Amino acid sequence: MVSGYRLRIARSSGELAYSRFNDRGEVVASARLSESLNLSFIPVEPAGGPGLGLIECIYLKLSEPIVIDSNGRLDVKITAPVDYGVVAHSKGGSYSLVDSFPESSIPYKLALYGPPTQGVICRFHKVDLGKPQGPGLASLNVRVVNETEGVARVNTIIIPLGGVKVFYKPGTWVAVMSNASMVLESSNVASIHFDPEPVSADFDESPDIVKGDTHPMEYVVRGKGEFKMIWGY
Amino acid sequence: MVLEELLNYIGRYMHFLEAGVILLVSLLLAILASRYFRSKALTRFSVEIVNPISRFIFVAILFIGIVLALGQAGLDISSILVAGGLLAIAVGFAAQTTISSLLSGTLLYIDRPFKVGEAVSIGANMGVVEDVSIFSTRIRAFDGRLIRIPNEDVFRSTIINLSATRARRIEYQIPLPHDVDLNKAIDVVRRVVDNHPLVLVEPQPAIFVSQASVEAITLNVWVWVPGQRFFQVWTELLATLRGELMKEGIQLALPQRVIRVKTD
Repeated sequence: MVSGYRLRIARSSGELAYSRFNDRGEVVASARLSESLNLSFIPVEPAGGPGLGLIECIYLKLSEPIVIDSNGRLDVKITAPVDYGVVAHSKGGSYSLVDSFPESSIPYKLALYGPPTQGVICRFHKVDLGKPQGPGLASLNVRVVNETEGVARVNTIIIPLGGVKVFYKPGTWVAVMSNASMVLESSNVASIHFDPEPVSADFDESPDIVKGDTHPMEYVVRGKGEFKMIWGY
Repeated sequence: MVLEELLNYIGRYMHFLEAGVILLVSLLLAILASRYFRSKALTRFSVEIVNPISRFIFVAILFIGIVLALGQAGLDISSILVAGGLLAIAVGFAAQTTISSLLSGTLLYIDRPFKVGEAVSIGANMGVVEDVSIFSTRIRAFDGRLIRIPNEDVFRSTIINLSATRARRIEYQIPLPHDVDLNKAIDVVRRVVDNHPLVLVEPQPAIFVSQASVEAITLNVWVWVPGQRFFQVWTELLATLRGELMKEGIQLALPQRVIRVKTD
């Protein structure tokens, strides 16, 4: 049982049959796969669940604001949701996401970042600063740098799924996201940069689900791994 | 002597030679101008709009060239121009609607109020855009009918692009009887709204009393949902709201009329 679901992988006549059942015993996801594929069960970007196909970022609402002096910086350790992913790998190294679903103990909500006509749909998560990592959550280190001329107050951090990477410790559910830095450029605009390197040699990289090049925030990309929050923080 | 005769001969027919040159130059200009327009316009507009305009440019330049060439050749072109003008007026009247649709199609391409694949409401018609041609727009209604709307009508209609917004607001008006426990009703509605995974946290939902009439107290519920799932959430939430209110013993207000019987 994972997050209230029962998973079953059956092998029969040269194929693998994957099924996920809800608590009423109903099949909610299934797939037939070639026997030559390897299935792995790992943490992935939180793009699944009822908002599958809509989610482009993570909307982290801080339970208490971060207040930073002009030209100051502050390192915060926060958590962000990850989904349980079932990924099929071929021997050649290609992969396909078979199924993904969120942790049931974390409230599943979505939020819009930006105006209704142009904004982006995000997975919403309320962050309690200092709260330890739990199931379905990845830890995330964010360095907030205030380059504005005044004291800045940060209530929201947007993590674009097209830029962030999820890493996991093989054989465990311990997950971390790329180290990020958030540079406050003006009272409304901040840029988000991700460190492309793995956070530790012990961790493997989870496959990309939401590609950066299809991200609607692409137009605000200034460089690789950098996104802008143009609708406030 | 022979040279003089040759020069006289050429002089007599020089205007025909000049007319030929004008014709050739105009043909060359027509080809170059239409090709130049086509190469530039195709980067911004579709082939359906570019080709007719490109052909028009070619024919117009060539027509001017022919008229000038005929004038140079010594022919009286005034009668041709008058006939051409009359023909243009006749064609213009006959093809008024077509030309209007063509122009509207051109303006639609420039304005781009919708794209193929987007859900739209054009006047009284609603559906998914299947094709936008130079003369008409075809939309597939949600019941499967294919509707062809002349571009002239599209351009004049109110167009609502249902796909262009990332988020849309659903509004319900729930009529409740006057003796209702209003706080309980609001709590039930809030719980339903908060528990639906596709109701957005931002912008925040709003639940408020908007009206207290003789018949009912109207509870307004405004929630924002992803634009692509508007219909799904609208139907799910409506059914859940009704079910949960009923489960909590909260009835919807029925139409009522107070009648006072006056006795002597």
